Amino acid sequence: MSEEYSHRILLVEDNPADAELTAEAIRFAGLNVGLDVANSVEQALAMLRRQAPYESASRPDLILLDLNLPRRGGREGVREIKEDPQLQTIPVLILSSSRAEPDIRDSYQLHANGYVVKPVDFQEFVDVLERIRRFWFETVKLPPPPNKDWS
Amino acid sequence: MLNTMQSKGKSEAAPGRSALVNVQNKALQILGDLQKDVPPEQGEQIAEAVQALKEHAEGLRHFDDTLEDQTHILRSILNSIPTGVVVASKTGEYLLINPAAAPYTNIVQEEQRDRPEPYGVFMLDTTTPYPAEEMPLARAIRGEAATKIELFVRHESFPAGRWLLCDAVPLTAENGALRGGIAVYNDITERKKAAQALARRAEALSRSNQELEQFAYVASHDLQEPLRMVASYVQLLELKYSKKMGEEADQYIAYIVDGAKRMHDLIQDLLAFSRAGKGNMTFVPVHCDAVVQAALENLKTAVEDSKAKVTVDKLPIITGDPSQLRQLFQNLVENALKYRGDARPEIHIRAEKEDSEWVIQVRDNGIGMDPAYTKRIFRIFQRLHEDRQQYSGSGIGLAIAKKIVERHGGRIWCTSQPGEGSTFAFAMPTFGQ
Repeated sequence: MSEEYSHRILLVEDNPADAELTAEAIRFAGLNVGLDVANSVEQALAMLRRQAPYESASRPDLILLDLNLPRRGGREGVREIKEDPQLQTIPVLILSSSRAEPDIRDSYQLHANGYVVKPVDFQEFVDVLERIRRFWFETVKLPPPPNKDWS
Repeated sequence: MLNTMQSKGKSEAAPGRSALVNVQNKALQILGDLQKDVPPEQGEQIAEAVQALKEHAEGLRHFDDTLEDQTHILRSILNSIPTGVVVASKTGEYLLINPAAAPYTNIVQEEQRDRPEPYGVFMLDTTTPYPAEEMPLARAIRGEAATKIELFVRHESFPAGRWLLCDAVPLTAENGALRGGIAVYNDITERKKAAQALARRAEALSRSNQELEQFAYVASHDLQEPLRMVASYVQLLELKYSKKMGEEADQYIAYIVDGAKRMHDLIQDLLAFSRAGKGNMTFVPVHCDAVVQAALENLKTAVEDSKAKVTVDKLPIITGDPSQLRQLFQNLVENALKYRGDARPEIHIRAEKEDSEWVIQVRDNGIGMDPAYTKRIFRIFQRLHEDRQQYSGSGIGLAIAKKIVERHGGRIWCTSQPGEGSTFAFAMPTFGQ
């Protein structure tokens, strides 16, 4: 299924309305990306590590991680991804409605690749996703996955 | 000679006196008898000796009276002061206990000379018994000075316990030899209670402040999410179905979007307010000139758009947090720009030193206001104008300005008249500059 898209994004978001909104915004932005949604850090890690029942999950080109997740929050998520040699090269962008300095600082200290405040305005959100696509999928060069198992 | 001071009579105060008088009288009697049996020549000598002895006796009586007088004064002082005084010999025997010290040394009866039963004396935690050998008086007897020692004492006659501040010094003889120790006790229970009450209040206040800040943060942050859903989905509805629902529906959608955005702004402002003057404030000398320039730089567009003329006098160096002071000036100038009149806006910033404060003024030629409102405008979300198009914003700028000034130990106020502009002034302590 990954063949039809040029890139894949893994969205870690517990609120289905929010996840649907992101999917809509991606559509409105005309992004040619496949979106996978995990509703918890645990599920996201299982998908990234292809643990059952996600043996056929695709390796994303970018992870969008909500900061406020139940149980193991976004902070733990980004820490775990960045400490895993198989996963740490995948760019992780924090998506949060918080503008609080500690949230932003913590995210970067845990080696998040970016921190984006979720815009309240839908059109702005569409613009933000378009800019993310241009930067992460067109501007920068990323290394291939360290493990050749990943297709 | 020294004893408990409570009940000693005056006659006992100088026990040597009557014996000395007896000796003198005896001597005079012998001399008188002798005078009868000796030749006149020797008799004269004896008469001189008698005279000398009488003068000596007179002198002695005078000295004695003075001593007694002094002792009486000292005793009166010791009996009347609220400070407890205890003197003990090298062996720990009490030589003096004044009335103020009596309740604490448990010497009720004068005859009781032995060291009292170990008292309920405790360390600062009020439960750990104070080691007997570490008691201030015990240390003084060993030749050590023990100053400013706080003791907690509890006894059946004052079960709630009392706080004592104790100073003890060794007592030495004229030749420097150690004789014992002197301990002085002051009851500091009231002071201690007041300090404890104050500490408790401060703690409660700090806790409630923290809770409030936590609340503001959580509320603002958690309110954002559902608000974003409402705003975004309504916009999505508009994008997808605007032409299909009719004009009225489009208008409703516009209202919803506007309301959601305004609520978003309010929440952002609430967050900004809860953050202002909080946490890591760095107090350094701040050049107000530089801070005002930085504030004006941030307002460049607004200043240019309104063609405002902003003049700034020489401003002082004050002690404070640079970024918060920048915010303060920025909010005041922004406010002056926003409430401009029809004339070209003129804003003047000046400073004046008054006693131990700098008073800094931001004066404008704007629309001004009824003096009745000059206090209310500093409250959070207070607005005086219903025209949201012309005077946008939620009314947080001045509330933040007030918070910043107050966190710096200053005051802020406003003087104004409708149509005659407003002057916002704040006073900051000069910290001895």
